[in-house]
Amino acid sequence: MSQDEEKHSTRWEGGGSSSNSEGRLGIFVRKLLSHSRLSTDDQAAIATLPFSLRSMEPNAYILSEGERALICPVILSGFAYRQKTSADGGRQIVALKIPGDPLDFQSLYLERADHDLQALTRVELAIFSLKDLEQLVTPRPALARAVLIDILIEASIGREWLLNIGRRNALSRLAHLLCELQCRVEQIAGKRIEAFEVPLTQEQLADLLGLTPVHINRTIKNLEKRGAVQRVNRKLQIGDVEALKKIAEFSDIYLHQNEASKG
Amino acid sequence: MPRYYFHTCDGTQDIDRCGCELPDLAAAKREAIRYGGALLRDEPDLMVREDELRITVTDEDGALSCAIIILAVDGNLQKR
Repeated sequence: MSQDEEKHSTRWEGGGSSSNSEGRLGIFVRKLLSHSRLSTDDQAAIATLPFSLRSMEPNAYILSEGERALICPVILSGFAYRQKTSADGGRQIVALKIPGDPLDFQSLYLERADHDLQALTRVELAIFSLKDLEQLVTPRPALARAVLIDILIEASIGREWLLNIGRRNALSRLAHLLCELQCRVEQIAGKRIEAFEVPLTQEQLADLLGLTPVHINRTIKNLEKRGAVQRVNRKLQIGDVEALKKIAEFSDIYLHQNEASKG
Repeated sequence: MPRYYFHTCDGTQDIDRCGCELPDLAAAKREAIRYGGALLRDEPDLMVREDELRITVTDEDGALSCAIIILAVDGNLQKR
């Protein structure tokens, strides 16, 4: 997809063609640069890592709870999520991963996966071996630090979600998630995205926000009335981001974007 | 799976046009109860403004499947 075509597209999913001048791993490097300073040498080293490409359909398992991971996938395009399930089948989506995100830096340090990792939309993944990744970062402190920061930011997002689900009402809870999504997607896309199409169904939003689908439906209606979102063919689109930020009292501090790269 | 529609009446009428697919009536009833509970958790003042919160569940034909009705009653009613 060319830049021009993307501009009016509401379904931003990352990616781009392989003829892209920054290379297939460009989006991954940009992701790391969004929170960490890396020398051009370190950036070039990432590009030399061997990887394979894999496409997966929505809901396909990328990693299952209890598994010993040998690989670290990175999302080139599409969206994925982490989920945990209770014994009676109740599901909680505990993290949302967007294009550019590494999916399993944790397995560099911990042996077994403690959750399921699934494709939300169709995803294209670059698959690195954990061993290669480890060998890359061990002699490069700035890269090792970037890996750590990535993990810390995911933990920070997790804390914000805990607050969101535990203490915010349905309206600001949904609004807050949408603000975060818009913020993260625009950051990695490097441009404003109008009318971004939320890649989650009402059922998935319910499982993420700890609400029933009926409640999500009512809450979307409420946001619609305020002009903050719109539904086109049953797909939820973000409308007025400023209105959403006001409803959610959104502050992006917890995303820790660009602090290192601001210099 | 059948689709059920959950209409909310809390002083204003909120008609559900999207509905939700659920395995059976028992699941729909449970969903309505959980939904009502979440509404109250979110906004306890709902029962202060209005004495009644009603969630009506209808099936695909618009027929009533079940209803959850929550009432607030003041104890000093007789003294008035």
